[in-house]
Amino acid sequence: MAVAIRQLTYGQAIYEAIRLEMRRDPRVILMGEDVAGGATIDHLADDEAWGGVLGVTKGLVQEFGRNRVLDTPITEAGFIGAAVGAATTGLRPIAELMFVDFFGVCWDMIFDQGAKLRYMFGGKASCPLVIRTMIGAGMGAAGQHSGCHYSVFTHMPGIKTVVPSTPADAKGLLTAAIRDDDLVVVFENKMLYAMSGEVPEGEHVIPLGKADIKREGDDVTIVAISRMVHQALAAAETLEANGISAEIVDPRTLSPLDEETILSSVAKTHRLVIVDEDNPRCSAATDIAALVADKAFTELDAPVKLVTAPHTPVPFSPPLEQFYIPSPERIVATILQLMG
Amino acid sequence: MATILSMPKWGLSMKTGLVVEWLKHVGDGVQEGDPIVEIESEKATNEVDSPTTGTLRYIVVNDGESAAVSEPIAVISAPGEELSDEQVDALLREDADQRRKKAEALLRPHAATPAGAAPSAGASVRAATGAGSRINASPAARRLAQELGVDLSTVTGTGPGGMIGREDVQRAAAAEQEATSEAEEKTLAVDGVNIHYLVAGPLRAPHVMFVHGLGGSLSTWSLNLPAFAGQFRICALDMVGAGASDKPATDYSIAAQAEFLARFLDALGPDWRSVSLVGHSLGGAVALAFAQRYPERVERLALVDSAGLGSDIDATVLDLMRSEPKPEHIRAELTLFFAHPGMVQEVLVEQIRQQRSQPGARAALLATSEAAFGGGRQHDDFREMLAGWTKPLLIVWGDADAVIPVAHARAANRGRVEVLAGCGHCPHIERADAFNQVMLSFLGEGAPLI
Repeated sequence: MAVAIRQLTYGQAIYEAIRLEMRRDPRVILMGEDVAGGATIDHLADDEAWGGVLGVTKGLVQEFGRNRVLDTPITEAGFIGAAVGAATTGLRPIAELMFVDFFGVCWDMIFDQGAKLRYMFGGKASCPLVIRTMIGAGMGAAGQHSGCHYSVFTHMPGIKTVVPSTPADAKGLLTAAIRDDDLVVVFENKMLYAMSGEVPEGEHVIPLGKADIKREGDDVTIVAISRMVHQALAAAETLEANGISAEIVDPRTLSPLDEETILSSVAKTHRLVIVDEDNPRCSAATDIAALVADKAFTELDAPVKLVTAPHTPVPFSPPLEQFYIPSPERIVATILQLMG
Repeated sequence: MATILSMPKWGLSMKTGLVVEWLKHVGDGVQEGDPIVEIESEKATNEVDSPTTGTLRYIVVNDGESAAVSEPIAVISAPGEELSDEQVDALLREDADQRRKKAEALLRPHAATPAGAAPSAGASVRAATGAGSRINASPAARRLAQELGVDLSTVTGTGPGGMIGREDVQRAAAAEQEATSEAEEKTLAVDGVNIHYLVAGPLRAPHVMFVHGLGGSLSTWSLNLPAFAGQFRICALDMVGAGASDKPATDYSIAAQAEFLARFLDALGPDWRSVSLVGHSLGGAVALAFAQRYPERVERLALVDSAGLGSDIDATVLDLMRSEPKPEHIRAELTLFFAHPGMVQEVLVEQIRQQRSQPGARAALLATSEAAFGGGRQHDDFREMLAGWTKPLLIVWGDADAVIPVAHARAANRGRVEVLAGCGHCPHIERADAFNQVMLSFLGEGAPLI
């Protein structure tokens, strides 16, 4: 079957994935702060619906109605808890946690309820819930709206964590997340919403736990997460000009993690740099470094290097915020040092 | 860090060595370069210098005992280093383990070094790895080194902070393979002239170039090269106009041949920038002309029944050489080359006949002969130049040389002179073992053990 390829933004690709899955499965519902927006206020016209703070879900309430597209109060503990309950009792909710930084408010519902139900009920209960949430610095949104924090979720058993870096991956991975029978958190980088790319039309599913090689190379493997894939791609251009061929592995999901692809790439290049915008301690980056140290030690021809955010919250000062985010220049400098 | 002194390997055929006498006793301090032990092989007896400064801590192989090449014969502790007997035992066990692994790696079919190849010709001194500093190598380099049988203590790291990486190990394995491989015959174009040559021996060893005489080829050294290839990086060439090299119509004067030799060495690469030269007969004069023009490029100069040290040369030999390359002429010519008629084998006659029958061979030989020896006398005289020669010089001659008189050996009044009894113009063939021993001791003087 020929699949037409056309350009969508990352935001449009997410919208398309939700709409197609809501059409396909009536159990799929959408809930969160302002996901319908004005559409659920009686005196406002349906076509003025906001569709979330960045308008990603704008239009869904018109197609699927107020019973399936629910605006919630500004109480994450409440509506995430309601979503866990709905998922456990037969629906397949997509709940939007506006900024990942708010997870603390509803953490009990996520890690102590949703993530543990299947295990604690001996497999008789499940929680087919998708939590969509925004991550990433770069918009001047300050310390409480700019973190990544997917490492915290990846740490907890029972939660699948998805970190799409392109429009096509966003559609394919979100579709797989909605169809998955466990709690999946999809981390959408707010700096990528406007990015365009080719996205397959119709059904497009990317299995969770399958990494993607975004660029092939021979001299060094860069495992880059979410938006950092693009920082790494820019760095790879500079490195190419210096005669260094970088391979870029996008894990796409952190839990489950595609160990095989990472290890195979390191076995080819013998050098590893991990680029991660999350804070550096007990993180996805250190986890991948430990994996390679354990299972590919004798493949390594240089120390594993991490290029990450510092161990601080995201600063509000624009220059400091730019300094906080791993840059192509830092990646290049690290790799040049690594190549000796 | 303690150093293990191993039985050296002199020559391709050396398998074991006999410890004649330890020149130092256990507990004696030793300086790097001091003679420490006298070793006898089938071919030669030599003193082995201490590779390091420290204390002779333990003797593994005592006076009168033998050991295989590369087996440990002693342990030298570093200055101030205290080694218990247990630590010495541990060092030797680790060394044995490393050699066993290396041998296994060499025998594996997919190892980089061909199975059955001679064990490393170099590496008679290895840094011990277990008693102190740790080698800075990446995990991947360590694994590869084990797979390829490369001793990491001999590898130079080029990674971050001087760390040894995979590429360093691959380079070392390639170098070792080349260094321990059989001699290779190759061809190199120099100024558009294809030169056939043979190269062998460890890459990091002192470099020695062999230059044959008029009417000869590199095969003149066939009884000698194997004796040197274990200890030296050697090269022998067919000179322009000779052997399997091109034979253009060109200037065949001694000066021109010396200049061509310089360009050939340049083409061989920077490792051949400065060399020791061994020249026979006309090749000796070429070596002398080279040394005159490029004294800084010559480390040691060895002349064998050499031209260039007087005007006499036998006219009959020259006439026979210039005549049609018929077996009877060559046989008569060779009879004058050797003291013993039995040396003139029909195989040799046929080999020379074929070489001289190649297109251009006779013209080149005539041109060379005319330029150097026209009118039945030598035109180039380097005695004045040798009078100012200060680098090591060896002059070897057969006492019954009928081509260039043995009196020329002493005419230069320079250097070490060795007259070998019972041989003619080609002592390197007629008394190959004696010649090799003399030449080895000359070339090996002051040369570092590798």
